[in-house]
Amino acid sequence: MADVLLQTRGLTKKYGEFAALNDVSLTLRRGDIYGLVGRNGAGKTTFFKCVMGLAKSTAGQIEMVGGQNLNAARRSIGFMINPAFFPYLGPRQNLSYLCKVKGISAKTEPDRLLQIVGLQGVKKPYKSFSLGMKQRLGIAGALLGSPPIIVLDEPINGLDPQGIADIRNLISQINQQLGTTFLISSHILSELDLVATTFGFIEQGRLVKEISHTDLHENTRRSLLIDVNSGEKAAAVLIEQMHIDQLSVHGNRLVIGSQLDKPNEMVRHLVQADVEVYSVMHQQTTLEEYFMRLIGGGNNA
Amino acid sequence: MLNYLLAEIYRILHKRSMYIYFGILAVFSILLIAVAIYVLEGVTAGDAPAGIIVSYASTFYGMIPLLLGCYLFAAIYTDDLASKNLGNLIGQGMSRMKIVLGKFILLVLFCVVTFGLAPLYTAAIFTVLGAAPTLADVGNLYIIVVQQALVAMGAAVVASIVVYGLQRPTFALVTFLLVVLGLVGQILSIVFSLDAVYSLAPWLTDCLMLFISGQVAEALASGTALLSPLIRCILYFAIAITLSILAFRQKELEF
Repeated sequence: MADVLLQTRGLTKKYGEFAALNDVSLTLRRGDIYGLVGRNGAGKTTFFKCVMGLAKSTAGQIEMVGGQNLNAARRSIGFMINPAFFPYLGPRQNLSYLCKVKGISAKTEPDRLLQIVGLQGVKKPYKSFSLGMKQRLGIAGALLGSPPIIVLDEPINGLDPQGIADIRNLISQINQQLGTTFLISSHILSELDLVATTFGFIEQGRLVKEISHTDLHENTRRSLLIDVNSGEKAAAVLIEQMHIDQLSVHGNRLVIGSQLDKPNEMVRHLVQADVEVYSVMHQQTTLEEYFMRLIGGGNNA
Repeated sequence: MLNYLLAEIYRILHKRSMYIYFGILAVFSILLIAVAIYVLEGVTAGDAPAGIIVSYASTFYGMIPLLLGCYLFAAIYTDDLASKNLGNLIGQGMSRMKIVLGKFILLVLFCVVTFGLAPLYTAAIFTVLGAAPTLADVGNLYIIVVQQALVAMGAAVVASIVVYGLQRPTFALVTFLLVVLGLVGQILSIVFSLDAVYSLAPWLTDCLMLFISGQVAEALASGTALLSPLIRCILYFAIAITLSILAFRQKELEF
């Protein structure tokens, strides 16, 4: 458990018969940037609410580094689940309020964080903020006191492209410089892919897969598809003639993962062996396609 | 808990609308007192009748729980709902019980300050307008204000059950208004006086804040034993706070 900062075991949350979370076992390790990916309504926010004590889980366990007392452990977590601030206070006053609640005495802390998220000098009340500004202030609130774990629910919602890049860089920078561990949710996998070191895919309340960044990219790398009249025979020919080691047969289609720069040679060997070749094409599985396959199709992720 | 209280005091004192609201109330009070002295009582300079301030207070202080209490209730309790701040607090490891207790302490604190200043302010205006009250008059003002403050606090703690149980600011404010205006108390006292109810629990009417606050005021005015109504008052708050905590524990926080 030394390197594990947060772990859930069989976490379940039911509303009547509907399971918003179903037996979720997730492990957050020190230094990770864990990307929790799922469609809207997949259970990401419910998971965060259970972890942060805002909703009571129906079953399962939550363990956090820092002891049995979850409330005490939560004090070492910065979080943002939908930015929530007082509408009549300005950004500095809202952060000062949170500083006082957390017992942070450094008077410069709000200014430091406003500088980081690009809201320095903004005086207007929170109610006049754009969605992007609210997100930025929410992130500043999560960073208060430099907690060892930061939980961010959809942090790039409503941000413009520059804002998205800024937040992404900020997360990477804090993770690398301070060793802060992040648990971030998003339904935009391509964005998470740029920062996350580990991914958890959640669908209909179930954590369908946990995978490292390296393994994810291994699964989404380029491949060559060859449609032939006999898959088995074609596979045997290519293995014998070219020693192709990454090859799978799906009916009359070969999916080849190595020697991708030699399609001409492959076709020549197949034709010489009396295999009819119908088409040859390169394919790269995108992260989105991988996700779709994982959850069994459906809407955008 | 102390950090939380300090944060809440910081927040409320940075609420600009509070200064505007109390400023308007202050000006309105001056006008009201001037009307009371010069129009209703027909006082000319220097001939204000004794006890005029108490007569004024008996007539107009009934509005104080509504005017002061409503604003304080909204500032202390429902702002958290509108801004969804309760989630921030719980997410930062604060227990629900601490939040409920903290809010009650804030309520008492702000009621003591605002209600406590009301008689002094009234006396000052009377003095400036040429109808200086005696010390006994000011003492009587405080007795009336204590009664009204208890009514306001009683309504706030009852409405706080709705704050935590339903987490809907509108419902909470409506509940506060219904209780502070005495509508709930009137209905309950009618129900409690029904033979079927009265025969089972004749003491129920004594548990209403309208009744308890009256008894406290009476004891203060007559100098009789304050202990019994005070204990009932504390029990009233304790029960309401306990129900708030239970309601809060059952309710999932909304975002």
